[in-house]
Amino acid sequence: MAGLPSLFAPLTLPRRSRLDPVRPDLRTRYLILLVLAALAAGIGSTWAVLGEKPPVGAVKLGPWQSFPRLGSADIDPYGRAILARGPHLPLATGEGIQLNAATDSAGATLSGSCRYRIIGTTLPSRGWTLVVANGASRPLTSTDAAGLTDADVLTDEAGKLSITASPQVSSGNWLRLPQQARFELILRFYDTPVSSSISQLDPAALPRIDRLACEG
Amino acid sequence: MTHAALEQPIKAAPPDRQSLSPAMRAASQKQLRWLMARGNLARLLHGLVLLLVLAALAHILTTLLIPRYARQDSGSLFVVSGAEGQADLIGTDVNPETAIIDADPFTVIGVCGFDLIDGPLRVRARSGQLPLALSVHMRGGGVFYAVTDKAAQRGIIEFVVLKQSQFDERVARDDDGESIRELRVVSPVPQGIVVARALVKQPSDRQTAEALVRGMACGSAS
Repeated sequence: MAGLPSLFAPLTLPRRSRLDPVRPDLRTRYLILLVLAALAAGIGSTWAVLGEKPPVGAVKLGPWQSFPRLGSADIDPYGRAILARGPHLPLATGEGIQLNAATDSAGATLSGSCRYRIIGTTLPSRGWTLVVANGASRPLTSTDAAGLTDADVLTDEAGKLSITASPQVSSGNWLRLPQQARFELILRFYDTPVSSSISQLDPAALPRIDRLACEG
Repeated sequence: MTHAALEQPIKAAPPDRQSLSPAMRAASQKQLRWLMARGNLARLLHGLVLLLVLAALAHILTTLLIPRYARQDSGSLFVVSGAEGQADLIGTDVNPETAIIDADPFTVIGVCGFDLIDGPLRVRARSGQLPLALSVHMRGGGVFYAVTDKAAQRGIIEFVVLKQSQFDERVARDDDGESIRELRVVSPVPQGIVVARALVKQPSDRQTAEALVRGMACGSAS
């Protein structure tokens, strides 16, 4: 506590002096300005941090990212604040897992001007869905809705899937992408035994996102 | 003491600036500037530290207070859902204020709100052909219980949500030696929502999924 007086020295109100009538006003103005600047910085930083995804608690698995604590009892304060900003219903731990990808496996941002191949294995589950969302992780409107379920996708003998994602129609398993726009992929596994141990998961257990070609 | 002696000053007056040598004057001015710069730097550092401390406090407070005063979160929007004893379907309406932001378009969702001040809540759902999961979300964020239809007993998923005090009362009322056949889930908060989610793999499954979800019953367990 010995250091407190010196730390808060600028907060101490100046003694009024007839010889120095200007000084108190300057100090008070300085104090008000300091508090206002601190409030602006504090609230501004909260606003900046509370985007679509929490700043902490992410589990990275190749291009996929998951926030398992959003669906658990030990959710962090940032997660609570993000969920409070609108009607969200995250998948509960034990119910399933949600994985978002905003980049391909090489780290480049996903874009509707490119063609991609989503290839690999999926996790054991009662079912999975793959949905195209806008840059803010929100599914596209019903008229542009693009997505697949495990019932729509044909796999090879080893159970591996291969999906072509592009704005143009493609043969085989095809996922329609928005034209020229930035997008995200959301992969959800329902009733999967790995939902409570996702942080220990090998990224190779999830499909890769390979970029094939881009226009322009 | 002579008159001349009385006129002499008691202490020697400080040396006149003019009487200082140019070298001494420069040294004293340099020292003065250094002292002023050090004072300003210390004041600036104090200001910065205070700014950071106050900004951190404002950041923490706003982050903690947002869930408390939120009115647009699921727990607040749907706390009165299911008042008729059955889950209300959500996420399909065109009202953007109540549409679930990140809902999977391949699922059908139904909710029942609860306020345990009115008493414990009994939740009962029937399993079907489609994957179904029930989860209990706290008002203010977080999920404290989830179960899938794999845990159904004879095709029924059933549990009671209650507060710790209600749980203790129930345990005290239980007869010794009698097996308790209800699953009791203690809620850390008095208010929340029970969510039923069914997966729709094919468009033709949607009506079945809606019936499955709407079939979740939520009623008093007093």
